[in-house]
Amino acid sequence: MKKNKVVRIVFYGLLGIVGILALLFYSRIFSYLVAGVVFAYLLKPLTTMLERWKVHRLLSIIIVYSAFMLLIFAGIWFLIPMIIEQAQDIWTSYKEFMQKDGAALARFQIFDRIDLFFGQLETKLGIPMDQVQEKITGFFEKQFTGILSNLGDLVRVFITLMSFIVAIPIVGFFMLKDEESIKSWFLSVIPNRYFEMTIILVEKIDEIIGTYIRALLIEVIIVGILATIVLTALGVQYSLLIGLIAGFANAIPYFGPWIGALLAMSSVLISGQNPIMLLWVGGGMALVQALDNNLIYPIVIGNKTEMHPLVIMLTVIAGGYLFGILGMFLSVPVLFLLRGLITVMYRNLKEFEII
Amino acid sequence: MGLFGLFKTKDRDGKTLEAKFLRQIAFLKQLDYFELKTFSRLLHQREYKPGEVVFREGYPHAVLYIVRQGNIDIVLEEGDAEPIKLAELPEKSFFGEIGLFIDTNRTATAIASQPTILFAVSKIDFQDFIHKFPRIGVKIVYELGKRLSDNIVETNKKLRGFTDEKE
Repeated sequence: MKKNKVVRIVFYGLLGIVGILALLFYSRIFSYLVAGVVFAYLLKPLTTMLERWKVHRLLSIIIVYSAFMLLIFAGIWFLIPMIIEQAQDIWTSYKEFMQKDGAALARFQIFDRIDLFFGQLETKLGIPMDQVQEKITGFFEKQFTGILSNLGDLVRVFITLMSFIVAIPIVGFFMLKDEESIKSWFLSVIPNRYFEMTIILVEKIDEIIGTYIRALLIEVIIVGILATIVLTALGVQYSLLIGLIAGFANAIPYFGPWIGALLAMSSVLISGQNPIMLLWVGGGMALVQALDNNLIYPIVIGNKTEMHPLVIMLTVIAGGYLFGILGMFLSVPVLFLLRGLITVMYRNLKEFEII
Repeated sequence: MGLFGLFKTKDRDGKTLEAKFLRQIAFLKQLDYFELKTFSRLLHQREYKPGEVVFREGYPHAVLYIVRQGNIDIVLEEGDAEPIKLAELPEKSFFGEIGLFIDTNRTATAIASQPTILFAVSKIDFQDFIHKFPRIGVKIVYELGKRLSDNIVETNKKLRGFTDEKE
């Protein structure tokens, strides 16, 4: 008997080491996995709809993927050039504005703040446009000197980016195709005693993540479109870009709407439009928010997320402190997920007489 | 076998056997091959030793089971007293269907009386399946309704016998 115990300890020890090594080995691709899962969650309602009509699952996924690709390409073809143009325009006119009127308006601290904000935005979002440009020109300048190292750099960046772009749909594809077998495999390692409870937990996680991701996406799209329409109607410049950002920012509770509104107002100031426009733009964005809060949000998300506004607000701030913009986006969903999980876990551990 | 087994057209033997087995289950017998195959994706295979508890009375109701192999005893446990055996479920029978219809905890305890293999289907997967394929869903729910009605008739008979005895 003693021998068995030793073997067991050694075996489980080795298993633990292998597990830790595997975690370290795969830690870099964790983000791919998460992004792929999110992608799958977004497309799943569509494949489910096709499957309902007895379309084979593989074919359903291929159809949905093709439609999605088409949408992306159309987006790249029509929207992206417009957005980039607007982004460049806004940048140059902002610089011009700062040179021309900057001195006169320097006493308004807010413009310093905006300058700071743009600077931070660049670094926080991780799109160092100047650096990229420098890198590319520098690359050609140094062609004959440091060709190898520079090429390596560029290739590495390119490969990382491409592998991310390619990996997400592939991970998503297998998640959609093999959803049940992945779940089944995971459940097969759970002992009988905990089997039913684990099923309940897995389904709860699935429900929370699924509803949240889909609801958020719908809200982002609707608010983005509404903001773009309102801003275009008011004649605000760069309305497409600002509407887009406002839509995404809207996913941040409480703070997001202000980002959109402030951006729209800055656009009015920068492009030298009549200051009375500020009122109109503020009113327009407020209208969008009113629609969102009273119509869109209750319909797509509903009252499932009953939590005190103060808690949500503080969570967003804490997330922002720790992880920047990403933290502001993710802290509240993670909070909801954890709260839901802990509640369900506690109740089930009690009911299954485990604790 | 193609890339990652993506384009394989034939089922592995196990899957075909599963479809054959599933057709023998009362509430699945009306389903065609495609429908059975889709349903079989929801199954989790579980193995139990003799005497192992599948679930106890009062546990939450999350899973429906089909007996693939072996035997399950449904019993009522009353404290320290000898448990009362309500039913013996052989291969091809199923249990835990009440939870599909009403929100209740387990009404009795299920114990494996010999080495047993069960197919488990989660209640939510089952309900999703019925919503996803309403036409199959109707067949399944109809068969389950039959089974529940049978149970009521049976219970009524027993109850009559019981009251007759008393008089």
